[in-house]
Amino acid sequence: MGVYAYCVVPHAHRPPGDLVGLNGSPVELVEVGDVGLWVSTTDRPEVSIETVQAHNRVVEVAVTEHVTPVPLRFGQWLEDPGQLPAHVSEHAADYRDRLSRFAGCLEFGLRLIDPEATDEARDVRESVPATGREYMQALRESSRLAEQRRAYSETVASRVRELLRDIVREEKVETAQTRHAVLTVSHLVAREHFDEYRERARRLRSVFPALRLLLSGPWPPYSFAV
Amino acid sequence: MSDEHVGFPFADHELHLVELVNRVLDRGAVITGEITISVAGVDLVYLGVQLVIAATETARGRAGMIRMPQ
Amino acid sequence: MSDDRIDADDPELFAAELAEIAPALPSRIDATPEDVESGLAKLVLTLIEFLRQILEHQAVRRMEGGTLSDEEIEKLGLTLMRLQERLNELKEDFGLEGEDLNIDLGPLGKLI
Repeated sequence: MGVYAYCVVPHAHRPPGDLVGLNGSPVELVEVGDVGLWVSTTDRPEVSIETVQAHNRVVEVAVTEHVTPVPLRFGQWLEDPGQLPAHVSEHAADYRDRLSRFAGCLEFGLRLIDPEATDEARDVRESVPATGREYMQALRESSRLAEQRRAYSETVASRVRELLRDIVREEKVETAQTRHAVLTVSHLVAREHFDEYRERARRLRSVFPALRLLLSGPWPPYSFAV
Repeated sequence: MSDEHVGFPFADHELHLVELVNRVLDRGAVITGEITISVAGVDLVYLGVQLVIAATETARGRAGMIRMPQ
Repeated sequence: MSDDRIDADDPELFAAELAEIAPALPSRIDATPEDVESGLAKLVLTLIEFLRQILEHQAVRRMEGGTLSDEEIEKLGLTLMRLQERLNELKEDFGLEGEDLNIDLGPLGKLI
């Protein structure tokens, strides 16, 4: 047995008594200084869709109108519960800061992809050159195309920023690229702006008719907890 | 290891699942590097990786100074 | 929170797109402590791949700088090409795919 942690919450923010976490274990509040942690006493969890969902379910129960927890990544398990306070105190100032920034906010995700885009940079890179010079030229061409793509993404990113600036508290642009990805970004948005945010995000469809939009949320602010 | 990839069930409603799993496994705060080692693979060597972070940061900073093979 | 959290123009297109990043998830889900050795190979190969990319980037910059002779460009290209080939062979030996070669540095993001 060890202790598994779900999220960081403000001092005295208690889980409901009947809340069930990973492996059917009850969820308890552990207070460390002026922050709290929602934890379960349980064995090291297996990673599966079910346990990931169970983790998130607990984090979402911690969300109230005024409290938004700092969600922890899946897998924060300690064999020795006695070590928990030291680990938490080490980051306490950071947690307090995030709790106050997150209060009343949740995150949304935006993905813009270009269905027509081909990852030319990758194709050029993976071509089979015969000579050293050809290889170097393929490298140069690949980096030129990658640069072009970055520049386009940046243009789209600034247009999105312009459109949403006044209702977005924080943004996090993801660099992981899929073949058609133009922009992948998460936004921290206050509750009172949720509807307005959705409405404006959907407007991106007419701003960029060639792109396809995926809007998701609200989520606990996982992307802003790191 | 890559042979063992179980197919991810993709359908309309599964987009929700992908977005969720992506967040819960890849983002979210980490209490300490040591305990992300709960999942094998690259995560197992997270601690070791922390040791080389300094080295790679330096490598990035010095990228401009690396000598090419002559 | 509402259950209706996804609004996608073309769910199938996005499903196909996200399938590209999804392999990273099942491989982690399936992983067991017995994979330590493979994890170590992954770490080492990732670092080599990282350095290889830096070298290639530098090589392109040198070439664009116009200070390299034709002979030097040919030699440099061949060296880098062989390096890439050898690394691909090694990846295959360890059953690793392109996307497997990365390291999550936690708060610092992905290495490559």
